[in-house]
Amino acid sequence: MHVRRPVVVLLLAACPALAQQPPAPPSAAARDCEACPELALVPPGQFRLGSSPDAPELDPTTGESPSLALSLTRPFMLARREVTVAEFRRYVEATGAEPAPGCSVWRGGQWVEDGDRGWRDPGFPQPPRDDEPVVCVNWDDAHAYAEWLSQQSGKRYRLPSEAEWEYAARGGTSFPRYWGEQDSREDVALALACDHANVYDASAVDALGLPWPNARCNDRATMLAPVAQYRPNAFGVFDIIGNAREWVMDCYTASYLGRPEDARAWTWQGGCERRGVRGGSWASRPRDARAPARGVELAGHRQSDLGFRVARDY
Amino acid sequence: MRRAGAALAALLALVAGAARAAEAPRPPGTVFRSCDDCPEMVAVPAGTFVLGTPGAAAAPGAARAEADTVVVRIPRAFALGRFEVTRAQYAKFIADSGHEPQPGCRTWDPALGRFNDDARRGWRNPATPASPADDHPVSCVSFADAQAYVQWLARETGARYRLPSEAEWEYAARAGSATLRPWGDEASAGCAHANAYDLVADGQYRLGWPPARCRDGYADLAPVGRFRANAFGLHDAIGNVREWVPDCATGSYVGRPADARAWEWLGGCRERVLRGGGWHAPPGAARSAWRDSAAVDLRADDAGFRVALDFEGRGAAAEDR
Repeated sequence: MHVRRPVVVLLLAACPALAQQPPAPPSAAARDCEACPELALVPPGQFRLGSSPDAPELDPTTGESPSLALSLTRPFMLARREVTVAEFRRYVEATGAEPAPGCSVWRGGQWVEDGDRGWRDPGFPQPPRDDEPVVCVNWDDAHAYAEWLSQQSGKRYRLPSEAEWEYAARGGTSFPRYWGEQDSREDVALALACDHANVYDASAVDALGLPWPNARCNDRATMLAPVAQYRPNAFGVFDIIGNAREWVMDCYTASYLGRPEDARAWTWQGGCERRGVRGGSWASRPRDARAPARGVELAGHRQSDLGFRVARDY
Repeated sequence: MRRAGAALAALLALVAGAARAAEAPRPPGTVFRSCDDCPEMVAVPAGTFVLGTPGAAAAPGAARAEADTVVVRIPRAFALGRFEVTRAQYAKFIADSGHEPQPGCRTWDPALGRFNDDARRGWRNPATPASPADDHPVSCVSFADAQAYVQWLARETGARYRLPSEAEWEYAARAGSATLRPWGDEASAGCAHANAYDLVADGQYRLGWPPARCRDGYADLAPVGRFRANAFGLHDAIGNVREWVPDCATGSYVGRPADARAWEWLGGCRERVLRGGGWHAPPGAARSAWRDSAAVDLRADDAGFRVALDFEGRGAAAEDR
């Protein structure tokens, strides 16, 4: 350490651009189509899906434990950002696939189903910005969006599988929060959250007053934040924890026992009513904004903290 | 092989452009068979039940999955084998179909004091019982062997034979009961109802787990139908052999279909469910809701199956009354 540190400093001093977080400007050339997202290449590897039974923030009701050793034998591509309002608008205008109105929104201290709300107006104090993640979209909306991208690009776009999602969210670490240390207790990792993820933090307490503890930091974003405002993880993926919760491809059951032992999505013959939801949001309990935390919603559910990102085969 | 009259039905079906000779719906409790060598069937009514064990924590041996109970609706009457498929029935299938199961069976090895995959054993010579008879349930059959049997039976009869789904199996095993076992909650009251691991089995095999505190008269497999039927007319649903169902193994029922369908993954699965416990099932496993699972190629000396049948034709789609 003593030998190396000065070298790094020298390098940084010699090359000031490297001293900053490289925000990797979107390059149109790297996209599969005009409407297609910028993609991160997620390398193959092995990891443990889920948590050990003594994990500090384990939710015993959702089946994240017992965990399962999984192998990603092939790389895959994952969108660096959650799908935005502007991107979704482009899809709706191109296809006419306007989602039916109705969305569950946070009002008066609870989630309320509001027939007048929807992705164009999720019930925030201000209208949604073009660069915010689209929310109030159900699993079918998200699935159809990926299908449309596939038609546009000739590539196979889809929702990420639950295993792919968690592998990517861990960002090459084994931690529940990729920025955390091995010691992943709420108070330690969450105090650092505001640089990395739009979670339920001090900035949201007054406005929302949610019935669970907030992260001990302040990111000045009460509800949704525009995409890619926080630091990406080691795979170059933004907002995978926090901001909007994200639909995954998998059907949901409350245990990993019996699931395929590779990264494929776990889906039933005859389809399923409930799909996996990952990553937590601006409104989530801290324990729900972890890589291994599992969520579930009815596939037709729309909520103002629930969006998606797309993946595609490599 | 076909019943008298089936020829005419087959002819009519051919004329109608369908190659099937349907089994028409029968009133619940009716016993019938599609051919002389076919398994005897009993008609099971449509209905609704709770899959799993409510308050599973209080049930000895209950697993996590059982606690995620699901209200399941069986929308149509169907038929289920009155008995487990017998060795004679299986031998007929082997002779007619040319299907030859892989050799080998997981049997109790008294010398080793554990279960052991014995390449010399198979459904013809399963070791338990020492002298297998025609009316013993077939054992040492894998999930694939069981599937091959029902597919052959469906071809031979032209009727919709298949394996029962897990939900159908538990519904029929419960036969209207909500207790841990079709006869009540007590394992030790079961020796007239089920051939599970009892004092007789323990006396001979010493498998290492506690037996039910009663004597059922059989140390290992019993010929089918020697124990009392449940309220739907099914024999040996609990005990004798564990029975393969096509559902993929899971650790939870959350998300499963709430109807009679089997719960299977797109792309298949490596482990399928076995139900009912067998002759070495300890009391915790000799229960209506007990779920066991195994790799689809497992052959074991306590694993067999029974068949199910969908009715067709007039009235088959009748909803529950």
